[in-house]
Amino acid sequence: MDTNFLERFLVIFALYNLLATIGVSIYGIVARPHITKKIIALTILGDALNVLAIFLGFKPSSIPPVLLKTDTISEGDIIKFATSAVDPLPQALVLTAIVIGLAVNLFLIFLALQIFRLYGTLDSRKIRELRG
Amino acid sequence: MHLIAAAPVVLVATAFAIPLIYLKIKSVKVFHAVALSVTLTVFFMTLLGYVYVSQVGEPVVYRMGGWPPPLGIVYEADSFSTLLATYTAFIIVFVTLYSSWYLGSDTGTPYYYSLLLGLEAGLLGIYYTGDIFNLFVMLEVLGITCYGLVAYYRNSKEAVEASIKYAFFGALAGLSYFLAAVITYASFGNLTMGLVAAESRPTFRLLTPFVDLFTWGNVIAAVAVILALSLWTFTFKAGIFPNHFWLPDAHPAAPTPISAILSGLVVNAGAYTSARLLYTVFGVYDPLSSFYSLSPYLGTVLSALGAFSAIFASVMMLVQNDVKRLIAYSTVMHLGLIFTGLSLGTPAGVKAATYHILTHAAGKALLFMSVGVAIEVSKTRRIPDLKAVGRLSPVVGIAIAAACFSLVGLPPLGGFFSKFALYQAYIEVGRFELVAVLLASSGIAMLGYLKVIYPTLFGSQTSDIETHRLGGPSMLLPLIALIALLVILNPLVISLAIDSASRSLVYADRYIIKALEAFVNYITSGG
Repeated sequence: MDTNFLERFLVIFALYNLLATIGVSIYGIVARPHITKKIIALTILGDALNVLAIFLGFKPSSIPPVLLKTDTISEGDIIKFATSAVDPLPQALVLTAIVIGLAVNLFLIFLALQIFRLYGTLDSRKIRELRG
Repeated sequence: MHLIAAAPVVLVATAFAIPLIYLKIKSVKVFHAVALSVTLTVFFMTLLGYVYVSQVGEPVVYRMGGWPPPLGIVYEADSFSTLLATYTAFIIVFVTLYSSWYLGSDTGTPYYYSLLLGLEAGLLGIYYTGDIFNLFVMLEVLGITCYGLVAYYRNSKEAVEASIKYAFFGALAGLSYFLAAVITYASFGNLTMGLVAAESRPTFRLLTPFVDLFTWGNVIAAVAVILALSLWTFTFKAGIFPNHFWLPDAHPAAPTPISAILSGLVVNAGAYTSARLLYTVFGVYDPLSSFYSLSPYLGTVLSALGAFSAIFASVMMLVQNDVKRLIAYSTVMHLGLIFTGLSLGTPAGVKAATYHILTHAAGKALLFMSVGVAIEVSKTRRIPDLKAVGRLSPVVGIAIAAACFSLVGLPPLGGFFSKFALYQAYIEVGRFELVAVLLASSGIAMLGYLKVIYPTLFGSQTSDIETHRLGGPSMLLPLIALIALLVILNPLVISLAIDSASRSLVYADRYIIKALEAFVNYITSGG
């Protein structure tokens, strides 16, 4: 068992793991009646999608996207860098998405607190003032 | 075009400054003045942007921080986006003025305006942006401010429940669009709308630096997934069946001026983004695009959902007892009609849909604001208990009647011409079932609007009305302005503007060329 095989195995394992996490979190959002559990499932879904985004920029046996050589850069250096560095853009996207997710989660938690103050429960089956 | 890029920045800066000013200045009147002056300033900025883009006659690319398209975020404003942005800013000016009447000296006023200006920033950002990921950010800015405003009455059970429902599914919809944006990046190698559009058209593809990305995977399948995920988000924002469920709860629970904005303007963002993605970015309806083969499926799905929304919502209007819920269902119906227009894929269909977006926004904002006066003096939203405000204040009476008649589509008002344009667009492609949907939903909805008109104009309950609430320029001026707007929305006046807007959307060549130019100029100038 060489390292190359192990790495490929880990990449595929991580991918399926992510997809399973997404499935479980969607189940949690849809099927769990408790609002806090729904919010937790939503957070998990957001994080799983963020990791998926990072994953798309990842290459096996890659280097960080920083070109350390600064004095004499040949064409070969750039080609080597471009083919082996991970893509930094998804990481920038994820950074933005995490901040947005933080804001949405805080807001949802505040609303859940307010719901508990008004209704005395967080069971979404018992909160039925509106008919939709 | 610094003015276009500055408009959302000015709004966000003021939105954050208002709570800080509130620490020092406790007078609520100051905030009414600040919000009004800022929205007015932003309206003139968007108007100048519109005039500039019309004079240039083609889309204008603004590079944020000077970074060229694939590396940095760009704003790309064409006549479609600037038309909608200017129109939105115009209506928000009057809604802000109306808010100062509605809120009076409510202590939550500073936070209200803070969120309202954030909402406008999100809307303008959505209209101007030329970047797929920036669109996600702007959708979330719009979303969070909307959830906050729906829960403005945070001690009312109804408002908090509607808001958590809206926020929860809004967050889920936002994640769906995030996934779509990530898949777009993986399949196209960049996130600039103009460059993704260039890659979608084989005629432009050789000019882009990302050609080799097409060598792996099935890009048509990828685009189908992207469109499915992102249209789910956009139909959620627009309140199209089956994603309409939050709308009849959230729109009534908000303060009335916010109901006017949510129903009149925020839903348009969903229609705009759908149109932008379908027509410009992926060119699903462009025969020269690689994804033209998807158009029959998308056309069928969107027109079926739109038609079903229209019929379903017009029937639901009849069984409502709450006047704001009735108007909220009317929003679902009109957005359904707009989506059927967009799904046709013909220039006439897009033109009619654009026209209907404008007339619906004015009619719906006017209806919410005028009915808001009736709710305010009746202290109830139950339709039979509404007082006959039309008898005491002719302006409010005319406003309710004009808004209802425009939404139904009676001749001298804008709504008639936009529905007639939709009718012509359906006939042109031989979609007679959509003609039936248009006529049936308008007829059923007419009965719903009569339920609103009858007690407010012809009812007998005029006792116990607080007449001092029925006057004041900050309430009457917005109503008069929007009545005038409904009359002005006549093909004789705005036909040219709508024509150039819809042409800019359907024929995306100039949009693509300007984005490519911004990229190539950067390369050839040596960075």
